[in-house]
Amino acid sequence: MSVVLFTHDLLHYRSDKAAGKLTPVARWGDEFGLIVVGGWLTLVYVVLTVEVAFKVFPVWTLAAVATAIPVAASWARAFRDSIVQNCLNLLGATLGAAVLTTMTIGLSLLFWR
Amino acid sequence: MTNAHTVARALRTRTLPMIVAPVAAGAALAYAHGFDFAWSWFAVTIVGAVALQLGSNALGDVADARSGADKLARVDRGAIATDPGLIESGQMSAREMLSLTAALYGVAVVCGVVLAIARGWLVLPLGVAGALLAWQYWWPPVKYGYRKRSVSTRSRYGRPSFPACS
Repeated sequence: MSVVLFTHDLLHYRSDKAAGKLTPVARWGDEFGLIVVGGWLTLVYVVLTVEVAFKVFPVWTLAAVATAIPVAASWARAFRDSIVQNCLNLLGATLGAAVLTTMTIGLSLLFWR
Repeated sequence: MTNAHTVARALRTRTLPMIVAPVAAGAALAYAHGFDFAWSWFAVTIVGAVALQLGSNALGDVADARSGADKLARVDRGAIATDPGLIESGQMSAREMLSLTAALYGVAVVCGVVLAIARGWLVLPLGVAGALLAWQYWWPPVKYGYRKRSVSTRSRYGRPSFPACS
């Protein structure tokens, strides 16, 4: 969910900076912000996989990794051209993936006990 | 008079899944690892978390209206404003928004205290730290989410005026 909040700052980072609002993206710019988003998202799915390996979550939680596909496509589009529409699509994909991943984790845990 | 639809927009209720989902996942994790699950305490936790999140949304809108961030996002063609802009448009006053924030933070405090008394004190420092970080992001004395605006910034965009906040 933190990465969703971070991504949302891409939509208005220039005006945030002009108003003196120091979001991380306003400080670092959109390119570095997108690199951080990409690294962060990668880390999320890696950590999820490691948690499954250590039996924190059941193995079918890995179904949530499928949500990485639309997110990766949106991220690549935004990184190629960081126009605000592409960043908006990335935000939508990230939010959808976050909710779907959390639902997958929750449901798989309920049936695990 | 402010209606329910306007209040829902002010609180950005569409962000609710972002706070409900992790709380629900945490509860499911505890249940799966053998802890008891009580719907009543789960409900209190959800209500507290939602109140804290929605209160912070409202507080952020007041601060962004005051700083001019909202207005600048609307005039920047390369930006999409993500706030409802109710203070700027006059649909709600900053005072109404702050009252809403205070009420929601009050609900969050009550939930936190009840949980701390009934289920364990650890919830209190975590809740206080979260609330302080949210509040001081936008608000003095620390206001760590902002820096002082420069003259060049004002001359570039023009100084925003906010009659609702004056």
